[in-house]
Amino acid sequence: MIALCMGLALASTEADIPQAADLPAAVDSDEESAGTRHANLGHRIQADGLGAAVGLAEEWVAGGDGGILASRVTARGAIAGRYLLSASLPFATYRVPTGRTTGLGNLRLDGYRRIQRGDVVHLIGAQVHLPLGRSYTWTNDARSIWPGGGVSAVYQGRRVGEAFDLLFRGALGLYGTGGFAPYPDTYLQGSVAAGIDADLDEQFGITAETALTFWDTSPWEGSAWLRVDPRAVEGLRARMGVLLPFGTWMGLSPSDKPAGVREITATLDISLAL
Amino acid sequence: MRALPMLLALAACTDEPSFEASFITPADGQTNVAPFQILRVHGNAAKIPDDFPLPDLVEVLDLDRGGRVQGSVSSSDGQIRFTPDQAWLRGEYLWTVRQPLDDARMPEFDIDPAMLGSASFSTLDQLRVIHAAWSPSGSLCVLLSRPPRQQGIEERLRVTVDGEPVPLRGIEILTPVELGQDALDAGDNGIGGVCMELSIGGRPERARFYIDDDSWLRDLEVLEPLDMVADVRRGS
Repeated sequence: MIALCMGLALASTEADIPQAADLPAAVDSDEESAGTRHANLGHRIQADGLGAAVGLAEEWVAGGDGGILASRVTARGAIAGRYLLSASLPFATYRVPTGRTTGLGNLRLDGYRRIQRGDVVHLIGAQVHLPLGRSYTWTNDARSIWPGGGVSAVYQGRRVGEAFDLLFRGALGLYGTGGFAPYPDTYLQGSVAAGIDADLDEQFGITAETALTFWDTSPWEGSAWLRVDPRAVEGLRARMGVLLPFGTWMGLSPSDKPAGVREITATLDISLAL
Repeated sequence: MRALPMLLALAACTDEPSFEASFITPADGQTNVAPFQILRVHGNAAKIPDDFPLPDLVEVLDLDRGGRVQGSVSSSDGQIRFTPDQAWLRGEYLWTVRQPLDDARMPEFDIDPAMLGSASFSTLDQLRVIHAAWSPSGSLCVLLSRPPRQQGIEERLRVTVDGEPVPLRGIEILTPVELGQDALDAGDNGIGGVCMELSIGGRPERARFYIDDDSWLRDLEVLEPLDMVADVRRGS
């Protein structure tokens, strides 16, 4: 709710905010914060850079309570230097009682107004999930794969720094599902996430994030990525990372599983900035 | 427990799943089960997507020939059903409803704990005593493995207390309504029941029941007939 209020407040003062074209080159999004230019950034926090990108991300939940591989194709772009749009569709292979199966997840559509004010980039907008498949499983975001749909109001901010960027995201949404346990028929989801993004050198960088979310299958998590932008291929980025579902390990997941470390999530993604 | 007949009727007469009560058909110990009768766990069963593959929720064993009976398990409308691939053969069967162990990150099969466990049934035509208790009104009531025929039950049923035969008076056959099974699935013959007076003073705590050459020793609690039915149907 706080994030939503912040977003609304920022939107109301939009007329007073200098636009990207008015800002000095030091905060031009094509020049700084290389971590935000591609298709993916954090687990909850999304890339806010101008420009178009496509990406493929793999999320592998390994362990006794896992066995899920979710692939996600993402395409994003900007309109008029101030509106960011993205579409993302996951495809999962997962366990069922009779073995393994595959299926589509929920289409995710994002639309944001991008407002750049000094060294802070704000995103205000909405994220919509539309059910396309019947894949009854989940990774680390309740809305991603399990059939369901809904919409969230989102505020996201990034403060650009010399050594690293500070990231923040808040969202509040309402979602509906088929009501099959452990999912409720409908649920409100509030989420806050914070992170950092830093370039280590011209080729390498890191992103780290932690997020609290309720209601969610991963109430608290920490995640980190190491990235490389190979000089040989302009615009290409490869990342590998890990997500630690602390909340699930503590037994805070809405599933009926007791506390314990039974899964870990490895991530891998490639992206091409166009 | 008095709500059981109403809920049985609701489950059979409407398309709405009844999640307020649970029970199994056939009842534990039921005989004369029809060759193609489906085994059902009614109400408060797992609410799961229709097309989601089910784990081994139900296992059926052929006690006469040995081995597991092949069939399909399905779940919808608040029921879990086991449909045998082939007709039941003549003999005794044991079926078990169990909570699946492996439901990691998939729909959870939260079956009413009262439904879990094993129950027997038979395709033989035998008449057996499957439950007995005192009714609060002072009658001795007996649940039978199938509906008895009016003629014959008075001659076939005998009761002894402490080894002494007890004369029976006023044997009354319980109606399907009184047994809460006036709306069973087609082809399910259900169970039977009789209540009677004993020509002795007091309420013995235990009695032995005879039908033809078979006998059953039963401890006698005080229960309404419908509570007895709930016991053999795992009603909750």
